[in-house]
Amino acid sequence: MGSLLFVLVLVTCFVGLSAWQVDRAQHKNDAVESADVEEVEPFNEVMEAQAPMPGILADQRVSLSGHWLPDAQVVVPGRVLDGDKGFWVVTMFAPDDARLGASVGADAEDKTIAIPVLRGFTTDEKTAMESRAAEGPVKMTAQIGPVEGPMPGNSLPEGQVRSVSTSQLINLFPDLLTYSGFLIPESATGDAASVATDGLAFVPPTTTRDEGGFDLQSAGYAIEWLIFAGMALYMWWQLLRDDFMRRRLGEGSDSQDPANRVEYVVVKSAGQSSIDPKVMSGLTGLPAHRHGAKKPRRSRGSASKSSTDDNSTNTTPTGGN
Amino acid sequence: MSEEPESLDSRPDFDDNDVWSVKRFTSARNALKFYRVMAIITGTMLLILTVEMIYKYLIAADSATALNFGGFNLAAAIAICHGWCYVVYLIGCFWLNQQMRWTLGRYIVLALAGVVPVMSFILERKIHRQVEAELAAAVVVAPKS
Repeated sequence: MGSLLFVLVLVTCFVGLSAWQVDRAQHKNDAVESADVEEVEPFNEVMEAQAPMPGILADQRVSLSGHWLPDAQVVVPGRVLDGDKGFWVVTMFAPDDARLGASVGADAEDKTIAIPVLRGFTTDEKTAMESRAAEGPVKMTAQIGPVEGPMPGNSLPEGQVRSVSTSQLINLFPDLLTYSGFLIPESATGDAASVATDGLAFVPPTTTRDEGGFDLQSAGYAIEWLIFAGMALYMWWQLLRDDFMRRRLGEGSDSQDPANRVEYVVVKSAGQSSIDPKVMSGLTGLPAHRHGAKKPRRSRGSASKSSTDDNSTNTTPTGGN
Repeated sequence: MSEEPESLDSRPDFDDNDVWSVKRFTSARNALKFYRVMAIITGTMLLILTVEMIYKYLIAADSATALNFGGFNLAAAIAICHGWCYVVYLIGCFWLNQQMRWTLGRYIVLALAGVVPVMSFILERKIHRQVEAELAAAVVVAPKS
């Protein structure tokens, strides 16, 4: 009984772990539940400069107006669009009436507040490096992209960075105050729009959350836990079966119910390395090659084999192989 | 050769634990083969993984992008492949362990050997010899129906 309890606890744990992984597989890639990110909000109402961005703002659509800072621009290599490897051109954009976060020091007064905006994609490095935003008022609708972690890019040419990272941009443009996050424009209007112009391709605002995605890794773990649960169950079942078999064998012939008496025949004695196919064949009525012997030639088929032995054994085959 | 098979009753000196059914005996033989194959595959995968890790974290300049070929991450592929091989290896160990009626502790040793480089090869040789000895010592009986 102790073993039953142990196995039940073990199996419950394993199945529970499996269920947890299934849950993870379904929801791991979901972002925090958020209010309608699809609804366009005024930029200055949701974002503050120099303040951490709450996770719920990822993918939030915003509208804003402002102007480009054409000199504050970086090129990000290693980006992919429609399977092509190329460069992002990211330019700082100064929104009108930008708000500062609460925790900004006094030195903020004479600095410009700006947010990195993805202006476009190109496979050509020269096009990327020479692209320049126009000056003038711009209105745009954009999606907030998450801030990326800083990545070392020592080997990169001047003006290029590996990721759109706030901390790296601050170092590059010390006169700017920026946001934690960047914008992926959906549309820009105005004379100086400069989104996806002069050789740059438009980068569609892709969602960072993989909603409804099924995580294969977690699904794999779920299957693995189920396999372990199966092993535990099998182990226990075999213990029971062994016990039962041993009792039946131990009873001997005299204590057995005469109606279903079972007599056993030794098919492999100690010292032999394998079961004697001929003995097995006599027991089961199957040809010897079904029990591991060499297959006889076709011409002298199994007819001669099966006729060699007694007729008491031709009833039911007993789990030969 | 063609003498009448002995009845169990004529051999009262059996140790009950050495009496095997035909099914268990053949299953154990198959498990031994499967275990050998999986020990070799898992051992090889683990060696590949070890080399890959050494390259990625100790030799390559940038471990984040090393072995990353245009969207195909070789490092991750090796890791995942090894992971699944190991699960199949565990099943093989379990099968053999069960048919040999070894303890749970022995199963854990077999399982751990699969995560130490080269260990699965060494243990496999030892286990193989032991299983052969135990199979040779077994008395296999079949019900006379």
